[in-house]
Formats: sequence, structure tokens, C-alpha cells
Amino acid sequence: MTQYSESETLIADSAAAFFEQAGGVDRVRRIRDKWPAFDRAAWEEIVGMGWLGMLAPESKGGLELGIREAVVLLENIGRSIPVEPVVGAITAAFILAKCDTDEADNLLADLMGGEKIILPVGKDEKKSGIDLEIINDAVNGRTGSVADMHGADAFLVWIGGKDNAGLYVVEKNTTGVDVKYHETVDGGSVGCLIFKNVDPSKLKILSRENMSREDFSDAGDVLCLGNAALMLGLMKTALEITTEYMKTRQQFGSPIGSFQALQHRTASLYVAMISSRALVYEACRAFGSERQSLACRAAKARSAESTMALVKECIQFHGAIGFTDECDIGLYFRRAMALSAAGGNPSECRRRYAEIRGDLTRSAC
Amino acid sequence: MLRPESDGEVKFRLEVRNWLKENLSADLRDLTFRPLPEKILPWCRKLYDQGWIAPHWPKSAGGMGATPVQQVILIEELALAGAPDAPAQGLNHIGPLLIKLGSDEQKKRHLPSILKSDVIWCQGYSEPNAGSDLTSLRTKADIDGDELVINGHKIWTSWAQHAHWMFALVRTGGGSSNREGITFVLIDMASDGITRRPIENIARDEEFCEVFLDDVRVPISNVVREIGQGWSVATTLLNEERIRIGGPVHALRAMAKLRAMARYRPESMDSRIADQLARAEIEVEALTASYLDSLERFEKGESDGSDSSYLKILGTETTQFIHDIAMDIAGDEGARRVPITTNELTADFSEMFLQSMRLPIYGGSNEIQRSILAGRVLHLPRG
Repeated sequence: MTQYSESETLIADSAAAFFEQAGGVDRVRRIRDKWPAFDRAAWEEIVGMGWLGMLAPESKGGLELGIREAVVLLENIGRSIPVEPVVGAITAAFILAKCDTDEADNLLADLMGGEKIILPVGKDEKKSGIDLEIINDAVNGRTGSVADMHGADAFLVWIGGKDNAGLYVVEKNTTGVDVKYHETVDGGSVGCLIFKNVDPSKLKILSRENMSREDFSDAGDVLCLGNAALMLGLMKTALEITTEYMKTRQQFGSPIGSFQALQHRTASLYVAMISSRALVYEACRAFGSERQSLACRAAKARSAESTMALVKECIQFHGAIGFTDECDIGLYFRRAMALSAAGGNPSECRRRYAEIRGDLTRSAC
Repeated sequence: MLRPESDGEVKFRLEVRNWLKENLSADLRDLTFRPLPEKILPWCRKLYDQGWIAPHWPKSAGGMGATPVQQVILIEELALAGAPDAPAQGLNHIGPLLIKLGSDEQKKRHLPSILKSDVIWCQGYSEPNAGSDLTSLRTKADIDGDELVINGHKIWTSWAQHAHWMFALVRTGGGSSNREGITFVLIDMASDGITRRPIENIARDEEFCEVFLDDVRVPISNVVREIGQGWSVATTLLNEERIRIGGPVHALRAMAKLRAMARYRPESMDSRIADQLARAEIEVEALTASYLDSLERFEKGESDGSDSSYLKILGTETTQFIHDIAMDIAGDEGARRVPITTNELTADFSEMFLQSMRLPIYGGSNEIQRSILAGRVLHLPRG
């Protein structure tokens, strides 16, 4: 199993310890019951750790670390299944830093200082990836989906058009913009922005004039890889909880973990988990190369499938208690559902993968 | 492989690709069975002359001393070109074992001939009553002066009918457990008293044999390490050997076959099959990433010995998964026996599919590997 360097171990330990001290899964339970209230106090503490600027340059107040360090961080955050939009916020900071304009730098400072929660919004994949567009001085239509958006104050949206195409910040109370979200099973949310005759001159543009849609295309890759990393941590903890249970729960006079039928299925989960982990860390190596998007979609698709397969078996191995709300394993199951769907579910990631890969049947390696 | 390649690696990939274009003749491409020795050995010799026959052997032993990435590049390019399956018992098993544990004389005698592919090796481990439960093996070796006299019965011995040498586990007696009293010995297959009976497998291929040993006399100098240390000799390199079994070789060959099948039956292509193709590719990338990760940690001495078990399961089951998709695309032709070769491609319907049924069984069945993971990695209680 890929091992951490010394500095990565520090990141991993601080992330794992932080969320345990913040209340671990008990906090996740409490949040769930107060939805759509957002745990601002926890968010401020997360902000205080400096993690949101993980991928932003030091000159802009970030930590200027690499994608691998971000994955190490998120893998260990994922162990405690928090629903705060850390991946989205890290991606937003990454995007804002790219703009290199005063407007973007100010927002970046707000985001990293905890003043504002800002999340990136993708294109509407349901409509084969169409961006919002300025037509006759108005913006109409819906964006792609955003996960865990109910606490967000503003969103980063690419809006196309003949003139004034660019990356915009859209505050949640903008006239004509409906921030529409639904509760998800884990206490998070999923939704989108709906634009109705929005006057683009009322929106703030963040990108420079010479920037194109392509300059922001890797935001989707960071989201994919980040969510995949969260799922690695989720799998690790869910499997630990389950194997511990299998060592103590007795039936027929023996711990159920001694039964070969269950041992072999557990081993299969381990194989799926560990190989997804290798793929996620391989995608970190591909980050910044021409295979970046391909690798990130592969990592998300594979991790999401492994995660769902794993948590299903975890419930099964717990038996009836696993089906109760009281049992923590169910929290992992529900978070897995949300993360698997967020930012492109496995089918969607494979569709994108195939699209990027071109015609699989003709191309070589 | 998803990671970007260095300039040197890109150059190496191109060198391999171009060399294969010129040197891999049409009669050796896209074969669904391993070709007979008279055909495969000259091919191995060509790879030897090129310096690529043993990428994973250290340079000091005559190998290429290749990095994990170079090894994967070779595997990928060979699979892409449709290169044939080379006999592996010498290069992947006894060779590395002798490099680490053999006497100077044993190394001098055997390593050069393995590299040059002058000699075919077979593995004499399994017996009729010792498969997954290998330590219950009963082939007996009595010490007579400076010789061992061996009597017994080995089975499922791949390519024994062609082999010049066998490395075998035999029982020399003594010790309180089954693991003690086992000896690791090199047997010249030309010795008197050896009878080989090929067994036709499910793919109608005589890939393995039964081997009967009747009073076969072997000099004690052919014992690797000491008499009675055979179990530790055999298991010392087990992790490394199984990491190689878990490499992406078979999965990549299956992938090449799957692509050919998709070209042969374009009418089968729809969004569901497109999704399955993407899934197959992603599975191969997950396998390749796992393999690279294991090799890299193995080289740094960080492998904990469980990698080989998970890779064996992953590599073999990924291969079967890909064959399943190819069978799906083949539609009503899925059970056709003989492959079709056109100007552009070879469409194999059933042969590799049938051959692949051995993968989860050989080299320690996948059930044994799962039990190892359950005990050693997941620490589940013993049943």
C-alpha cells in the first residue's frame, strides 16, 4: 500500500486527529438532524487549519502544496465523513488563484479567511455539457450540480458568450439566481443554480480577458480526485469498523470473522479498496500531464464503485444491527452514496473517460 | 500506464515498438496458445540478444535491471504488438530464486542457459493430494551416498513434456511439522526413471503434465541450500514471484483481444458496450497502478509480503472480467472454437477465454490468497 512520506504523515495525522476532536461521527449525526443549518463553528476551525489554500500559491497566502498532499489530506479527512464542502472549497481556491486578478485575489482571501464559503459549479452534464451563455445581454438556464452547497455564500461559474465570457462569481442572493438544493441522505445537499434573465453586468467577472474555458477545465479533475480521496478514507474506516465487529460478534460459538465465507468476501473488499487507492495515487502522478483528466475520471469511477461495493458488504456483515440508524456503519453507507454521486457518478465518469480517450477500439495504448 | 513518461522512457517505448514492428513476425502475432518450443525459443533468443529477456533481473546476473516503469512499458508494448507468451518458469521463478539462494556452481550452470532460453524449466510442486495444501506433499527422496533417490508423482506440471529441468519440492523426512523435512532440488529431466504424461486441458491444449518419478537419482549438489530447508527456499521468493503473476501481462493481452473483438463486431457497439470497454480499461489501469506501486515498494524494501496475494487476485480476476466482456461482444459467435484472422485483426472467440480459467487456480488458488489476506492483513480470527 502506497506509503506516506514524513511530511505527508504529518498532514494525515493532523487531518485525522482534527475531525476526531471535532466530534467524529457523533458530530455528523447532530448536523444531520439540524439540516439545513450549517456548522459554521466547525467551518471556522477548518479554515484555521489553512487547508483550503492547499493548492493556492504562497504569494497569495496559500500552502502551495501539490495534488498528492491534497489527496493525503482528503483521504484522512474522509475517515471521519464530515459533510463540510472541503473538496469544493479547495478547488475554488485553486481556481481563484489561477485568475490572478484583484477581484479573484480578494475572494480568495475571503475564502481562506473564513469570511465566505465559495464553491465551484460545473456545466450541466445532463444537457451534454453546455455552459451558461450570455444571449441578448441576459443569462438563462441551469448550471451543473454542486455537492454540499447549502452553507455556501457564493459560487464560481463559467459563463460563455460572444462578449464578456469568463469566470464569474455569483453571490447566493443575486437577483434572478435561484440557489436550489435538496437534502442528501448524509446530511449534505446537492443542487444547482437556476438563472432567470440575469443581467451579466450585475455579476462580477474574475478571469482575465485572455482566459478561456480551458483554463478552468481542471477544476472538474480536482473535484473528481478529491472526492475519490475522501472515499479512500471512508473505505478504510468502514472496513476497520466492520472487521472489528466481525472479531467480537459471536454466533454458533465463534466470532463471525472466523467464517471462511465472510473472510473471503472481506478479502475481496480489501483488494478493491487497495487497488482503487493505487489508482488514485497514480492519478496524482498524472496530474499536470496530458493524461490528467483521463486519470482523474478513472480514479473517481473506480473508487466510487469500490466504495459502494464495500459499504454494502459492511452493512451485510453487521446483520440486522447494520440496518439500524443507531449503528454508525449506516452513516458511512449514506455518505458513500453522496460521494459516489457527487461531481459525476461512475457511469458519468466512464462516459467522460471514453470521450477523452477517443474511440477505444481504434486507439493504441 | 497513466503517469507521464520521462524523455528517456518515451524513447525506450518507441524503441521497443519499432523493434517489435521489425522483429515480431506475423506467424508469432496474436496467438491464443503458447507456441511450441521450436517456435517460441528462437523468439525468446531474439529478446535475449536485444537485452530485454529479463527486465527484472539485476544487471549483475545478466538481466536488464529495468525500473518498474520500464518493465511496464515492455509489458504494454509486447501485449500491444500481440507478442507470444514466453515460458516463465525459468525467468520468473527458478532464475530469481537461484540468484538469491543458489550456490555459485548452480548459478554458473543454470542462469546463462535460462537467459539465452536454451533450457525450459518446469515446477514440480503440486501432487495429486497436495494442491492448495502443498505441505502435505509425499514425493519422497532418500539419501544414498552423495545422491538423492526420488520416488513420487507430480501433477499439473506446466510444460513438463518440453522441460529440460524441473525444480521440485520433495520430502526428505524428519521434523515435527509438515513444513520441515522438505527439500528443494533441481532435477535433470533427462534422468532415468522419469515418465511424463501430458494432460489435455479444457482449452484442448496439452499445457500441463503428470510426472512420475521412479528411483530418479539426483546428485545432492543439486539441492538448493540445505536438505530439509526446502519450504523456506520455496517461500522466500514467493512474494516476488506472485507479484509477477499479478502483473498486467494477461490483462493487457485480454484487452488487445477485446479491442480486436470490438472491431470485428462493430454491430455490437452500443452505449452499454462502450461503458463496459471504459470499465475494462479503467480496471487495467487500476491493476497497472497497483503493480507499479508494489514493485516500487518492493525495490525500496517496503513491501510487507501481502502485496503478492492481492495482486494475484486482482490480476487474474481483471483478466477474466475482460474476457467476459469480449464474450458479450462476440454475441451469438461467443462459443466459436477457432479464431478468425483477417488482414487487419485476429478475432479470438473462445480460446483465451478457456485458457484463462486456469488463472485463479494456478500459483496458489485465489481462495488461498483470500485466506492469506483475511489472516495476515485483516487479522480476522482463525476458523
